[in-house]
Amino acid sequence: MKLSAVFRSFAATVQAELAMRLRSRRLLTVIFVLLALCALLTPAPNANYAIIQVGGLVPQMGPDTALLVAGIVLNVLMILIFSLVLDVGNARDARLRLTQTLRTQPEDPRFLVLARASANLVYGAGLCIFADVALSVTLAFRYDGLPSFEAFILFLALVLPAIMVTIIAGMAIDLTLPPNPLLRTFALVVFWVAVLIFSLNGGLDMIGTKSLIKLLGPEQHGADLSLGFLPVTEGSRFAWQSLPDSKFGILAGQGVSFIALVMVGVVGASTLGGLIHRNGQPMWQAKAIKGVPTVAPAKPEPEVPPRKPVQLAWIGFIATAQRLYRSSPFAIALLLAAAGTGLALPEHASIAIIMLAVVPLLIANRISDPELVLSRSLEACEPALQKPTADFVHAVSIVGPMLLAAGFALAGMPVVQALTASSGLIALAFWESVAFRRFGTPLLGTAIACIALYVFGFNDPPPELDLLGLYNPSLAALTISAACAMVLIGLAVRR
Amino acid sequence: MPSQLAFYGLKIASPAGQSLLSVDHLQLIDGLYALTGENGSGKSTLLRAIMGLHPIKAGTIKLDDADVRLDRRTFLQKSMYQPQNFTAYPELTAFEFLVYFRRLRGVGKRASKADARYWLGMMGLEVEADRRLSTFSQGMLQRLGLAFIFQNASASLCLLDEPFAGVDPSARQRHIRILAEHATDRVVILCTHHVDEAVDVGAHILRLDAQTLTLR
Repeated sequence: MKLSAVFRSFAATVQAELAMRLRSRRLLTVIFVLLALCALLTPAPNANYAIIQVGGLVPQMGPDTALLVAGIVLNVLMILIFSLVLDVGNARDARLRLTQTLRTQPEDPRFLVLARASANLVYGAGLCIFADVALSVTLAFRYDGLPSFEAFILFLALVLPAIMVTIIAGMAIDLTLPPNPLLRTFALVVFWVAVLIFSLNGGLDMIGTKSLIKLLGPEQHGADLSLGFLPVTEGSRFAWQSLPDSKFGILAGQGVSFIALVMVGVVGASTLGGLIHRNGQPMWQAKAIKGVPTVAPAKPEPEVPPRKPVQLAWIGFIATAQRLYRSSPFAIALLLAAAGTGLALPEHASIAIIMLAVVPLLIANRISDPELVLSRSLEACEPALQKPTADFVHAVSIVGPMLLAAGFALAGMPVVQALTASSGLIALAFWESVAFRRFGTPLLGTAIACIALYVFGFNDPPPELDLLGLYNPSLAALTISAACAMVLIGLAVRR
Repeated sequence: MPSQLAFYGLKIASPAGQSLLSVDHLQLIDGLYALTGENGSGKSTLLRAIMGLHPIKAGTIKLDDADVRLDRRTFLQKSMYQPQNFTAYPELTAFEFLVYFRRLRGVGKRASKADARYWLGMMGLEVEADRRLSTFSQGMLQRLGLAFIFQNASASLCLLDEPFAGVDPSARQRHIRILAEHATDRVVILCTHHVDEAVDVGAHILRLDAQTLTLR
């Protein structure tokens, strides 16, 4: 193919991908999350929470320093937020059944991946500039003055490399993992945790915290740096209003850029080395096709030997769990939300919830084929064990949290708190389920992250932010969470 | 010089090794070919094998001089394939979709737009050209698929897998005529159950029976 033709093909892909991303409803979600974060990451000077603490003290910041600190915290959250939009479209193509159409085009599929990653870079950079502007405007209201242009540029130097890391992570996940939302979300969370641990304990300053510590001077304020949503007590502030050294953003950016380049090398080498097959087939698709014969030989139905009642009940339980987990992202969302929310509750209750949510999932996924055949033949005898209808899943989703509420109450939690927490749980689960159906894979991860942020971040949340009453049960919170739950249930059932 | 699709001792098997179909020696030159056979006889598999999407156990397929396995890029440059139940990116408009796939093959922007407009008009989609594809019915998508196939005027081979599913009878007959008109300088293989309509416009019959492909 001639160079001009290659360029035309590249430009067409970037243009089409950008058009699709800009028209996707996911963009609205990301903008909504970014705007919410912009509001949360720029607390007013006298707010009762802060997003940074040094040696237990809260710095009194100006608009410039507040913008850069917001950039660092945004870096921490970047991977999860932007994973919503920054993949290279393999799972999307498979979902839309467009893989065959694309694989019969003559251009090199690696080239297509590169063009899509470039579109992601443009798109991600645009979102970073949007975040920068939104934060600056918010800070102008909070501090009666816009951040300087230098701080504006330093913010971008800090955040753009993190976008690069996210793009490469999204590309690697999309190319190597099958389009199973749970698996991909899990991989993303593992990657996120690894990045955080490495940047805090490793040699490279991936999110800018070490540069910040250097800037503050550990001997002056102590090296105990905390980021997140932190409660503020009276008299715990110290003055720190000057613009950080201009090397700060560059230093922080260098660390992330280095990691990004290393990842580009690793992913590039893997790609050239056969991650994508020559005919454009991603590895996971090749495996899937290899493993599934086009015409399956007829298998005789196995005879079901006589079983004891306990064995029959166990097989029935497994079959039902398997159908639920495999057929319904709704049920998965519910259980993950339960697990996430459960972490906020007293220890014994949280362990019970996690066991309740995770153990059946593990069991269902460990069932081997012979047992599957056995349970299928059992289902043939008992229609109730066949693939559950949407109504059945909804019923389970509603009854489940009710049982949880009863469990909370039995575990010693006050009744009002148990009811409020359960209603909040239903609302969260239904939100995740509806949003997941609507927007697809990565939102589940972001939703879980938001719950985790909510649970872990606000150790002592302002009462007005605890709308669902997970910490401060009240009649108002119970009303709000119950109303949310009813609305979302209505939406889900209607669909 | 007429286009020519040739099968040489072709054997196709499932990944598990089970024999699916075989074509001893067959050459197809310019014209419309209706590929028929019972459900599950392997029609779609044959089309997929021609495009290199299904592994070939033995033998080979050549389009003019390009071998599907050895000269894959040349083979794909000269061929177009519309899979069963054609789908498209829902966020794009019909016009944008056609222009994108045309430009993906290295064609200039202006020429791509002209081709897209022409073929959307031919398929009766000129009014819907700027509508998002998420609002298209399956029948409209199938018509878009035909425009997608034929906008590449230089293609020597067009493969269409059940392109008339969801298309109303009058539109189907019109589109079969269009297919026949544009099959004079290329090989067009149409996988269909409406054999009579294809025969009416002069299509040859390719019968897939007992795992063997024969030309009637």
